[in-house]
Amino acid sequence: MMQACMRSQNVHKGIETCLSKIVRHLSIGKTLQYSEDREYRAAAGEARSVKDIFKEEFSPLMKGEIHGVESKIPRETDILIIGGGLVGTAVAYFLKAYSSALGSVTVIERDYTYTRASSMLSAGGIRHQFSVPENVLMSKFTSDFLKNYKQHLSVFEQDPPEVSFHHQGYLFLAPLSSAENLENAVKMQRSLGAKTVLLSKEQLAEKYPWLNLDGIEVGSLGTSGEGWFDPWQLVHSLKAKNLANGVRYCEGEVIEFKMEDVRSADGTRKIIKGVDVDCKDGKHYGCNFSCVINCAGPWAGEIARLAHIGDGEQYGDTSNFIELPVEPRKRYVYTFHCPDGPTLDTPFVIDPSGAYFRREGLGGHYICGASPNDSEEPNIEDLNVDYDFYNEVVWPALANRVPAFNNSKLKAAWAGYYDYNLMDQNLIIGPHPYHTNFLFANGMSGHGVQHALAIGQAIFELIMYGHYKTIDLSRFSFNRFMDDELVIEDAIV
Amino acid sequence: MVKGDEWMRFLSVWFFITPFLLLSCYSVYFSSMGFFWGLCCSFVLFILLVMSSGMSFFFLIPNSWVMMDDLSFLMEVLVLLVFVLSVACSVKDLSFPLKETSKGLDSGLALISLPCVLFFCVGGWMPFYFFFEFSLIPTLWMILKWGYQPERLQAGMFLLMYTAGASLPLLMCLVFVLLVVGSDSFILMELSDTGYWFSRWLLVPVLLAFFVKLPIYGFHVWLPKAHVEAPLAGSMVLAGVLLKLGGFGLIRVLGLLKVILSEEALLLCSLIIWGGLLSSLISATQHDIKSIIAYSSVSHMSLVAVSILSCYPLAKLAGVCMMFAHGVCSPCMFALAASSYDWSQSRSISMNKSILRLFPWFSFYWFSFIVANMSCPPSLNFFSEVVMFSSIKSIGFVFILPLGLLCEFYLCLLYFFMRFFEPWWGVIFFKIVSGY
Repeated sequence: MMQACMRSQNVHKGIETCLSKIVRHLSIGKTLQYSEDREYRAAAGEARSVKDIFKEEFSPLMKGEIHGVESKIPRETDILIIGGGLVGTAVAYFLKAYSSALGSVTVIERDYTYTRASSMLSAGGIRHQFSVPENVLMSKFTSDFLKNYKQHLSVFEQDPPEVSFHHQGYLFLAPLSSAENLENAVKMQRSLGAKTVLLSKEQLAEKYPWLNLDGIEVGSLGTSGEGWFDPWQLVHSLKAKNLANGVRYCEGEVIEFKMEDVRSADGTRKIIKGVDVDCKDGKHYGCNFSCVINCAGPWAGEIARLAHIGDGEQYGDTSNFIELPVEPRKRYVYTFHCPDGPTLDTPFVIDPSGAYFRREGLGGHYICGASPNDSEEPNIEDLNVDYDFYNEVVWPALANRVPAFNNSKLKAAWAGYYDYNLMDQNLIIGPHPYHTNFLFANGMSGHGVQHALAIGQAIFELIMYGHYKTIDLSRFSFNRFMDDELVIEDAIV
Repeated sequence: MVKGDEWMRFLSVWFFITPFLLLSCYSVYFSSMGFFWGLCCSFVLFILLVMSSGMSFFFLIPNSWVMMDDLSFLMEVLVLLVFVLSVACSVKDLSFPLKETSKGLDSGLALISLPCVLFFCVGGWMPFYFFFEFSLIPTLWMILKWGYQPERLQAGMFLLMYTAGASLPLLMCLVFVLLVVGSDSFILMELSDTGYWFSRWLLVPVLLAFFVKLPIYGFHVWLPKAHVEAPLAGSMVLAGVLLKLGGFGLIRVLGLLKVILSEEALLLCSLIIWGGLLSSLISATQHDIKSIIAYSSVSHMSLVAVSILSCYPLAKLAGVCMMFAHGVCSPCMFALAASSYDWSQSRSISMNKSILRLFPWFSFYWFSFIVANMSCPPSLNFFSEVVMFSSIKSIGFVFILPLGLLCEFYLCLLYFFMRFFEPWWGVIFFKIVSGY
């Protein structure tokens, strides 16, 4: 076990050297340049001068300005959620939907326009076809939630929520070499209640005559609960419900974690007490919390570094030596138009080469993309699209699979970040073994949007009950990196 | 002085001290377990012994400015006890070298306690009113300086406006009494026939001030806000002593105005009891631990007010006992709540669950103070509540029902949450798993 730890430590340190340092150097996460001499508002429990309090209280009277009584960032909160994307909002929703008596929940988001948020730039697909049972169950949970989303997310006296769910199955195609794997996966998915069917070559040819089945042996099609939705609308519906339930949303950027030395059973140790938040109004705010949940998406690794996760050697603690292995990875989505391509019953087709496409709307438009090889990872400095990747990698694969796409025209494209888990591309959830009040909800590597609601439910159960009740996600804990028990998912798109 | 008097004094002093000496051995037993709250238990038992011995009836009037009687003495003991407790519990904030954030805590604490100590031994109505109001200012200062949320200013304003607004009529009445009688001294008041000159309606503004201070449901809004915002030492003194200013003042004022149990008093009693019941129910729905204790304080004080207003001597005794017992129990619970907050950085019950699994002794202390608050034998609260119930039923048998319901809710829910809820709770569980 020790050797495994050392191995994973070395492997991880190796990866850390090449990619994470680039990230840190480009400081892609920092949108604001802050200086040390900004005014600091103390966190709870620290004394503030009474004269200052009265001066602040009566300054509108003297100067004629109007500002709210509430400070931008609360001085203390019970649960702090870093990141207001789909995962953060879903976690806040489940925490408060159960009962408002759990405590105060605050969500900190640094960009309310979500210009680089993975949730908003996602294609928004949801599928039940995974090789890891927990992933299947999480997607099923999301499907069930979205079936009744109007019941869950309606707010009194506001317009009913919308998610624009389009029901369409996913079609995974497999050559002979991986046909058995696909068959086993389908069996596992069916045993869990997912309605996936295995289609033979003949059945595929009959169902989808426009598909070129060279090299394809079997396909698996999801017949219920799969499709795509608009994550932007889901985030805003959840946010509206959260605001109605009393979740507090704050705009600011977390720049530092405050630690405190406390006595423990074996000497002293550090606990995370609070964060320093930088706000657009030019002040630093201190915010203390009982429990913090990292929902920062692709920038979760940076947040973890700020919380000294992986820095245990500095404090003489040998158990805190693994950093959070999550990084942003850029992925492109291209929109093209084909006048005589497949129409209404087009599933979300995933080619064995890794390329995928789906129908977008009813006018002959399609969305496509592919994951590059490790050696061809694009630069994450900005969200510019590489059209050569489309011409050289994506389009040939799709044109081969669907001959009608030979007569297609690229219309538009965009790029978004995956919160890529370097170790096994799967969710990291649960508390850190040393900083036990720091909870992870990161590393979904492209299937965060479809698992966000299940992750929210899991985090709520972890905080409320101490263990998972609906879906057991203990395999995805952070400890697996120390025990070298990685959870490998085959069906990564 | 007659020789017999000297002997009497000698014997009475020894009679007074012996139970304390005996109980100090008892308290050593408690403290050896690291349980400095065990001192509270021994003090509680001591007071019970003293009061049951029946020798605690005395007057001490060295000059016209100071008057001590049995009630004053008891309250002074309480102030001393609560002050020592609050200093002991804020040791980590007050230890040298003084942290930047704790500058002024020691002086604030002393400034809160000083008017309280002086209030209980004044000899006239004007100093009485002065110290009644003066205790507000250091409390306000402590709430503002160490408050947790921006709403602390609102909490402070509530405290100030409620108390000051309600007590100005009291000042008017006291000045009126002074003008009629010619002196504000307690002793001289007894000589004049104040009951004859004043109408029954003078009672209303006079009682209002004390109802706000106690507090009674309806005027109680400031208390939970102030408790949540105040630092630990401030909360302890607020709960332990400042609320008792209201009860003490109520007793004195009823003595001044020669109040009898009339229809108005009966109406007031029924409103107060109903308010106490409502406050217990509200306490059961709070998620902030300090809020729960604050609302239960309101219930306890409503019982005190009713027992004093009922004008039975036994009920008055029980009310005084309840004030003392609550004044010891409540600060200790606030100290426990602060320890929980220190541990989990949260005042919410849901984030402080399952302490039985991890801190058995700590949860024992929680248990003992919660059931004492719930008036479980053999605590002083039990004695006082039993006597109170039997007296209050004499003024109206219908009061039995709300009284019975009242005591069920005192913090039962808090205890339930903290002890019987899911043992495998998240954050604290993770802490122990990691070997904290």
